[in-house]
Amino acid sequence: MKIKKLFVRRLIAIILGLCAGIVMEFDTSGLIFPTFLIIGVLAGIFVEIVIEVIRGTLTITREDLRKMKNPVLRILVATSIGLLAGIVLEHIAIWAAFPLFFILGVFAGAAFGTTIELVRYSRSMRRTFLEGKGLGMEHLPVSTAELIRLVIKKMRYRRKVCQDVQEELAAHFEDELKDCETDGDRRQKAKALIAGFGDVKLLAVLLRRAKKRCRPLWRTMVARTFQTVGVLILCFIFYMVWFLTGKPVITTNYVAELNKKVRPSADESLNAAPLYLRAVGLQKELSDDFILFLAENRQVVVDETFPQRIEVLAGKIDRVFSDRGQKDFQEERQGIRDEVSKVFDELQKKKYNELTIEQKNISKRWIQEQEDALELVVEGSRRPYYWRTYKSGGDNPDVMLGVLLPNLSDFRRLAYVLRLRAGLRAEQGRYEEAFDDMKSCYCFGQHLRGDKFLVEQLVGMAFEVISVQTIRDIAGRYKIDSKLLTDIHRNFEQIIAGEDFITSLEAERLFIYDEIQRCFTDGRFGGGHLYLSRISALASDYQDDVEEMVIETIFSPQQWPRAVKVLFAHPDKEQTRETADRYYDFWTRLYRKTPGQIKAEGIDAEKEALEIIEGNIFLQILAPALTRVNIIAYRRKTEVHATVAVLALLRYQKDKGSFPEDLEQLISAGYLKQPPDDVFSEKPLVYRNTEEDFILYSVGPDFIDDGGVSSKDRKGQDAPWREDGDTIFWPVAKLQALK
Amino acid sequence: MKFESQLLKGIAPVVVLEVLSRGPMYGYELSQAIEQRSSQILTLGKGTLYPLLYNLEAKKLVKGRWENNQSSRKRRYYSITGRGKDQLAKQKAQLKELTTGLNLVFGGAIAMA
Repeated sequence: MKIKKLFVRRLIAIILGLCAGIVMEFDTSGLIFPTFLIIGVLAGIFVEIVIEVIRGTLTITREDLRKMKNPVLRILVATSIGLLAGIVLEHIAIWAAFPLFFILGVFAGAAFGTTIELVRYSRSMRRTFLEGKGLGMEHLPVSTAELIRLVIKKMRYRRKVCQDVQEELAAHFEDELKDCETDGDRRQKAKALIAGFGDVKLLAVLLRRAKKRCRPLWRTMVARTFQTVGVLILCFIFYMVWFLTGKPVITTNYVAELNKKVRPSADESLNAAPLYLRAVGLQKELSDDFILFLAENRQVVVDETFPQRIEVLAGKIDRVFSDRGQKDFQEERQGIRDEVSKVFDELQKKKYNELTIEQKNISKRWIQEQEDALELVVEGSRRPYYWRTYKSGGDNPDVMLGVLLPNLSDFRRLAYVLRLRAGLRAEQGRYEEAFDDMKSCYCFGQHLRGDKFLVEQLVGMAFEVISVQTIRDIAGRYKIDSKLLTDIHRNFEQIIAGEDFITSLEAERLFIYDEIQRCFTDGRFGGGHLYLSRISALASDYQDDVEEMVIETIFSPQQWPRAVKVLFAHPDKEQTRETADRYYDFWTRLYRKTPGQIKAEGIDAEKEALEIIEGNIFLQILAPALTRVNIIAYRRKTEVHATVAVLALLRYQKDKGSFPEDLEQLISAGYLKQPPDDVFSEKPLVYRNTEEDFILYSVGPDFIDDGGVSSKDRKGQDAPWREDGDTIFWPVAKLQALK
Repeated sequence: MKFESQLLKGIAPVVVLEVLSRGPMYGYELSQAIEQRSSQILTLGKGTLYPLLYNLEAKKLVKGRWENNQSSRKRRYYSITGRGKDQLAKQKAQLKELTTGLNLVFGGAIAMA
């Protein structure tokens, strides 16, 4: 009874503490969940212990501490050990949403300590009970009492029931022996009774079975429930052992496979990569002089995008980049250099004819500084191949995820400067050189495509697009003679001959294969499931998101089935690989269709792709979204074909004195091999002769012919490839240079 | 003997119910009563009696309750329940039929009082 009261009191204290914690959690809008819950529970226990000490129901002596006699003390120690284990685990397992391991540690420690104490208590009670104190056994001969104890011990059932049976048997024996007058008679009779008692074990079994039948339904149900829970816990433990013992086995070096795939069987002297990389090396950082020059001309560099940034920087530049400041401001100088580079990058991204005269002067100086690098790019672009050896940037060079593409932004910068130079050269009347620069830019882009990473291909596509746009710009802005037009037209047709304009997903596929072999355990015991260490490493970049997701899942019961599925019933390695294959096969098939064909066939690409990876959490996290890529790729195709057609039309006009009535006339006159396809309408691009000029356009991503009316940006200029309006390739937008 | 023990096992519940139908008894008292009434022919040892009583209790044919008697020794008294009485009547009728049948087979050699 006393123990029950104690237990209830402690339980109430814990519940009160928990309630206080919940209130605090609500008060802080769950900001530091579940810290207050833990503090609440621990505070509840602490306060209760203090009360018990004050009341004198709990005394912890020095001896208790030394020998750990007090059960509360032992539970507290177990809880502290759990907490320490939780802290260690928090440090080791970086994926865990803090303070998950703290809580688990505290609760596991407390549960473990309490269970041990309960078992100890139960054993001591059983010992006392088996000694028969208070159950009438003391009046029986020793041999009889021993026999009863043996039966009860073998009965192995609830203590209360055993106590009843023991008392009943003791009374029975006592009644049997009550007529014996002497101790000798008692012993004699007891011996006879024991001899006729039968099999002790069998009796114990019969008694247990009979008593089990006596228990009420609710007790049976509780027992069955506990048994079921026990079995489930056991299964869970087995599952966790299985889950945690498996390790991935790396069987394939996919980085090497990719290197093999991108490496043509050609001599190294035909590879453009070394030249491009040398160009990157030669590409100059902004020199101190140039930065000071920019500061002096800040009003020139400034446009509406960066007014404040450059103004703030300008003040610092004088101070930091002057001769006096050179020694004192090393760190600050680098910071300013980076900032100025960012601002200047924006300037470089502009088309040459969009710049003001002052901005053009700055660009000229910048182009001069980059001449050596640009010449290497031009030289590289003449080589037929481009391949590089991919390597992981981490400790292990064979991990696809670690393959770094550090040169892409440098490449991009070079392409922009090349475009600026083409613009400058065109302005200087050096049209042929200007076109050569843009051909180089196009070939540079071509080099980055093929079975390479998607991001490389996208950068390559961007280079191709800026190249053809600039060619059209120059052709539209300046009077180019027929011979040069013919040369550039033929050259360009040769460059694009045989291009299929299809995006390759082979590198992406190998990337996923590599991650599958690293994120799933393999073979033997514990094989095929997700490998948490790797997943946690992948998720570490998104730790905040993961924590939010864990908390959200804990508090959303409707999410629990999904969470259980993700943890325990996710597709295994083989299934994931099959799904990944289906996913990439789907996109590869789709990439052979133009946006117009996809629309005509009513394919909802995104939906279908998501359906393929539905239920596969691994692919849902890692598989890239690929819908936009196809549109970008086919936009490029249209841009390229439109440029070829524009060059052909300009040649026709130079030769015949007027533009053709339609594209058929252009083709039949031998200026164009085939009409330029509009990938959005699945028809040729729309061409109209406007007497002095012509218009050539695509219906654009809205698939609707708006009669050659383009969408406009906020400056009122034509904005190509918007969801509304057409995309006009000719006449080129008459951009007004900024003053 | 096996036959004897099997026979006893079959009729033991009805014997216990019959004895208890005359008043509540505790285990030892019950075993003594059965022995006396059967002129020492039927003997239920502790190994049979108590599991049998618990089984009858589980079937709600008897009810057990702890009581202190004069010698202040706590004893568990068993009494027959309403359901036990119905069961007893049913089993007695079956037993009677069985005896009639056996008498016919054995030419009245097995006579029941």
